[in-house]
Amino acid sequence: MTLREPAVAARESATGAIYDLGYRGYDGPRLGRRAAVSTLFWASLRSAFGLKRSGRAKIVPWGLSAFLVAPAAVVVAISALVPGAPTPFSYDDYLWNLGILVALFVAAQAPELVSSDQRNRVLSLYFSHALLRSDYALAKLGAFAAALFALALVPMLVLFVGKVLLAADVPQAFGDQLENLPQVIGAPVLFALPLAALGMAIAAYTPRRAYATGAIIAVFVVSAAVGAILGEATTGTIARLAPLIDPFVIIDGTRDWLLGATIAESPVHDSGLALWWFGAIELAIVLIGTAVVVWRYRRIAA
Amino acid sequence: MNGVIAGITLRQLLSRRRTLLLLLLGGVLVLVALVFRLAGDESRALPFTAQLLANLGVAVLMPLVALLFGTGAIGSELEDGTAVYLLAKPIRRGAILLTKLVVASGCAILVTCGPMLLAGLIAAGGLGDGVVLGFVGAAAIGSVLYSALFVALSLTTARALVFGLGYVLIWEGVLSGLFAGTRTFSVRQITLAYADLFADVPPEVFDAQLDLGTASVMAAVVVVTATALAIRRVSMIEIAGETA
Amino acid sequence: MTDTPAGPAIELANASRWYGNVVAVNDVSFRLDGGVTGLLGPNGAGKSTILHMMAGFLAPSSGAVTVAGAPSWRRPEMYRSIGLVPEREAVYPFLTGRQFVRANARLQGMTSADAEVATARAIGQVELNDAQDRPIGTYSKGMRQRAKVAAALVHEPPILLLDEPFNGMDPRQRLHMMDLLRRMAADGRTILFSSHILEEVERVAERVLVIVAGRLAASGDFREIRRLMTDRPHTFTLRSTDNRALAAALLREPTIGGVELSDGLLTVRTADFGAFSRAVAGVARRAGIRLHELRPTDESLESVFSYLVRR
Repeated sequence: MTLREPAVAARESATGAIYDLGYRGYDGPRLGRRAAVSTLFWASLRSAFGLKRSGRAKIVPWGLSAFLVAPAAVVVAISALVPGAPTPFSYDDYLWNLGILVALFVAAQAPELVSSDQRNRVLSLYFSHALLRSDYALAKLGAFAAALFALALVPMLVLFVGKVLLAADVPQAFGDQLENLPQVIGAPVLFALPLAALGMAIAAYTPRRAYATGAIIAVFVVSAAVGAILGEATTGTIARLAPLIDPFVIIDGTRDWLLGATIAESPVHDSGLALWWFGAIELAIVLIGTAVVVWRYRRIAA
Repeated sequence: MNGVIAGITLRQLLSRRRTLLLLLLGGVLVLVALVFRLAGDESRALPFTAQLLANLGVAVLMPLVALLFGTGAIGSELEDGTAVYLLAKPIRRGAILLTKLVVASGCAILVTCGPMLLAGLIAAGGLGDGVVLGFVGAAAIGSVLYSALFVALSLTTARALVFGLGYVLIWEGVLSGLFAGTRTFSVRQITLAYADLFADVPPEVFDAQLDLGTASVMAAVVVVTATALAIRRVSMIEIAGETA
Repeated sequence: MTDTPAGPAIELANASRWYGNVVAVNDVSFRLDGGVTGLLGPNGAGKSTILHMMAGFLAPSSGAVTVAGAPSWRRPEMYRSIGLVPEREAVYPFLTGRQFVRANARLQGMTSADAEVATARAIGQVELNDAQDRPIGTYSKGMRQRAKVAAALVHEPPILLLDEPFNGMDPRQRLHMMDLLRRMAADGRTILFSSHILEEVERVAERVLVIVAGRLAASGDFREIRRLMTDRPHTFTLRSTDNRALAAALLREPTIGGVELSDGLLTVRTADFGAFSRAVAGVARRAGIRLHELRPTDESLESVFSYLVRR
């Protein structure tokens, strides 16, 4: 660090004094916008998991992560103990069945990233630096998407590694399982992007964490329930298309389209839509959600 | 019951944002019923109504409403520091808590049962052989149970909302689906058991997982334990200053 | 007013409060019975913790906290005798000032009619009459403080606890509040307020309790505390007909630690306040010098405080 001499020298007289508090100006190199964005990204990613904060902040994200990974560990254990036994989950339907945990993570942690800053009124501090408003929005969004990706990736990896290590012939099993790798990596991506966009778009609009959490979870749970009920009870177009208001159904359709694995119970097939529609809708969700977040932070008073 | 506290709690709970969100939720219920009326198979009105009131009403609307009212009844005041004005008074803490609990339960019942009644009447095209009233009545009981639970939770942890959601979605949702034992400790199942009692519905349409005896015992246990815990905690509540 | 309680209004006896390994209040003892007392200390010293223990919102980890004759913890009846003005800003924003004060009155057990009268009086005392029918959410910070004080006064408690009460008040409001506190103390009430602003405490408090890092560093009249700090020399400034000669004469006195001449002022340092004050007149007369002015220079609360904090 290069420090300057103080602008005003310390002085004293009978009736007044100037004190040297040791404050010095800084003349050294200043890291620019890129460093600011990257710092914010990593800091937000850490706070999504409660890292570098008190133990209390870790309970919810790590608890949910544990709940999400535990079934994968159980599956691996079952396969180890009783080889060849049918397992309750596989690559295809793992995230589909446990999607509610991911939704809960979004509802619990998205407000931590964006609502807290608004509540504590630190936005003006952020915006007075090299960081643009859109940089802030995109960095936060990116960090949360990365967090969700990591969250969804771990159980898939556990399944993958488990299958490989438990096989009699490990290198062969590795080769076999390699064809599943696109799904192991790709499915979490398909889950992370739209859920992050949706969650952030909702959370960015309120400084109160409780409201944000409630609104996010309401959107996920209600859409799923309504989609299911209408899908079953009505006929015709509504019955086919109603389940599509559930973002998890959209994600499943996209996954089916890009990665090829289908789930029997998923309403994707009954919808009668070509699979690429789902991909288009998911892309739309991601783009619109991102736009909403950026727009919100362009306009927010700070 | 204290009138002043009831009044303040009521005004706090029915704040604009909260009421809007919750009315929106109730509106969704009614909307789905309307869609069914317009586009659904009329001959299956009864099973649909039971499904609607069970899966969207009891399973979604009831817990979310109770969560917002239950955790807000005393939780929001503890969070922003206004609780001091109610607690630094010569009133027994138990009385303060019971007043808030009654108000929260009342609001929860109103905002849950109202839309459920309306949606049920629309979907079933009438009282539907007691299905509608059965579910609405059961939802009233369930709302009280949830409210007591969530008020106690708000006095136990700062993140009562998230833990409450975890209980509803994970315990009552995922785990109850997997492990039959957890169903005994599920407010949702207790409520459905009562719905089965009040509504005279044939089993193909709707069948509760819990029998009535177990449900009643558990209901009593939940209410009494949650309320007692809440009263105990509020009597010994510790509030530190912002800057020590 | 309620019946006068037995024993002192407020008493702490070896009260301590810790959170795990962190000791917030460390073996504090004092008694208050009437008058205005200032609880003074840097941020984080434990002032709020002590106030909240007195208000029955924190239990002492050891020792006793007695208010109005009985322990403060878990005794709701105690609140009849206490008015508490907490530090946190938040108040119910949807209530008007009058509704808020009135609600507090009713919660204290007053009948509707009594509450009306008491509310009007309390609002008058804090001069909130003009704004009383506006929602508190629209108040400025100082107005909100006044509403809080009115709510604490409405049931005329014999004991008043205020946590940083002058926060956010403009000078005129502060003067008015100080006046109010002094008047209430003159009525026989016990008033304890915390502050980290020395000037406020200096003007209102009859005695101070200085809290540093959880311990009671000093208590009593601050001038008296200064006198008791014998390991620190007192400084006086003098003006006379011949400063230089006076300085030379004073240097011969054993109690003088040092002298300094500058700009027509003679500054004298002495370890023994009493001996010096007795000696100076005689020294001056013997030297044939007339004294114009003699003033202690570091007897302010600030110097007392900074000394105590730095120990």
